[in-house]
Amino acid sequence: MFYLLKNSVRKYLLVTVVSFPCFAAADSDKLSLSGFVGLGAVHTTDNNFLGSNVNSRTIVDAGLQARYTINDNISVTGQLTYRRLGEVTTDDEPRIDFASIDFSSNLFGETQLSIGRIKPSTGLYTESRDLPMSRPSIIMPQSIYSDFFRNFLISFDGARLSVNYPLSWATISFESAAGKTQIDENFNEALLGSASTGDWDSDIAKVVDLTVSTDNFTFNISRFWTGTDYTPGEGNALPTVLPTLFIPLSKGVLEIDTITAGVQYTNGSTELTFEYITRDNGIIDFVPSTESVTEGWYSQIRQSLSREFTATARYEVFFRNKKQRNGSTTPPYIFPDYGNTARTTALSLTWQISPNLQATSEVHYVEGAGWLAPYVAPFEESFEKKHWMLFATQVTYRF
Amino acid sequence: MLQTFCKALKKLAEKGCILKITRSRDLTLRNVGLFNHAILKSKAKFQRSISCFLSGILLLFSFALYAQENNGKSLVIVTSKSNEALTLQDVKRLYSLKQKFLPNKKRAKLTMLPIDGATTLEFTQSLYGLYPYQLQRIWDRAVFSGRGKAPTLKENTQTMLSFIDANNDALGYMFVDESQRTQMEESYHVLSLEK
Repeated sequence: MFYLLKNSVRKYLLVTVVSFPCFAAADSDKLSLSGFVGLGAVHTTDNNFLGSNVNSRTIVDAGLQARYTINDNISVTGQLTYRRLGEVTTDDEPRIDFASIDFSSNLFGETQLSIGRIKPSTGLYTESRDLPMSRPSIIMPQSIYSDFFRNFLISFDGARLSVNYPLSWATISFESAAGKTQIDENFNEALLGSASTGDWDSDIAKVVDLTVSTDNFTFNISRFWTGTDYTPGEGNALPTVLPTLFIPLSKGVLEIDTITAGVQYTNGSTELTFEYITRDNGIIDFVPSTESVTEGWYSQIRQSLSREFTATARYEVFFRNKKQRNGSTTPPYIFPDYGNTARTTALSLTWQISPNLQATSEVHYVEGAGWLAPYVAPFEESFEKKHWMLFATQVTYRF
Repeated sequence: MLQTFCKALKKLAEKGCILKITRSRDLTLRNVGLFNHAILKSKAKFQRSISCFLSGILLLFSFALYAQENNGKSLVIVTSKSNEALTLQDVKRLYSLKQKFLPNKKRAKLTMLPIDGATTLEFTQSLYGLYPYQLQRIWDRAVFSGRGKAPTLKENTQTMLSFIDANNDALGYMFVDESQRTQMEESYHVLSLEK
């Protein structure tokens, strides 16, 4: 299988798949190219969203996508993306977001098999979370679309089978995918902070996703589960809020099992969305073993005010441990209670300046610091203040 | 003068600056009634009289716009005769990228006119009740996740028809008058978007 190949061979194959459409015969009906560049700025009043001691940073989202249709049933598609945001949410270099060869058939509904680097579907906005001109806000609801673990969750090397089955009243879409997740340096930083110099080795991740969509409603449920093995660097230990107390790191496994369910109602200019997530986190051996279930949900209204303006309002809730929703915890970490929960109210306004140009500005008011990094052992800057705000603005050009 | 005003009103409608009621298909007696009812709920007497006056003017010109905008033309979906089995439901699924294949099992080649044009506005409003950029977001979601291909842009109806002539699996949308429609039905499969 593709994900069993050596990293270098896999990278070579992916680059070949991505560049193939660009070098293929310039047949405009068969070759399509699109892209986007979004530039902006993010400012937070407190806490560790953008990085320790950093409250303002630029945000860049860029993508270049190509598709070459070989015939009715076979096509090749790929995309390069780059994201710059905070200290642990910035790509070192442009990354291959997806690159696959797709085989389509209409023997049973519409079936498609994609092999290569694929984007699995694990929620209503998985496909659009990186698209500044399509997502409902610049900073997405972090309980479900975490920016800290974005590269880990967003695409993997393997295969995806999807089936679209049209009925008279709805379209049923089913997806199943398996592959090796992408683990970069940001993953280690977001999870354990700079105290760890260890290595992560991802296992195979699996995803199943079911969507039923009618003219006005979309129902979605998906499950994503995987594990990663951890080997610590020499002498690695995590700091705690007590200056003299350190937690030694050892070899271990992180197991994640996520279920996401959502419903969306669309009626012309109004879009109502509700999504819920529950995630089993098994931390086995590398720090004192724990089992916790995080939980989050948000409800959102997106209203087209006119042909040019869209407003979005959202309320989001997140609990690190759904058995202790008040946020209380036990030693040795001794976090404040608000370090284990987060309640976010967000307002966003988008202006479609022209078909290719769009501007978005938004404000988030957050109570708590539950989803901030580093996730396993937050340091003091992660939860400086219980109440904090985030402002973001971005201008996007698409082509 | 009426023509100039209609053109200005039409421009405002395209930009979404005036109420949806100015669109031809919303000009039913029920909608007119509801619109007046909403205005009459206004509490201040002076405001009410001003509102009534403005609503009268707006409705008068809306009817003028209705006559001007349509000018006897209707929005149709055009494809080749080999796609006689194609229904409006198929078209709806194809343009929202939920369906890729035509009833004849061939992959559809979707075309579109400029996204900021009046024809595309009428197309997205009639088919989905959405503004064009809302439909474009659906296309973006599919395109930038490797799941689909957005419709190919054609600058005008002539190039769209030439493309359909050259590709049996292509489809597009355009405004046609009754005589054009009758003529086109001899060579194409034509579906009306009027409800």
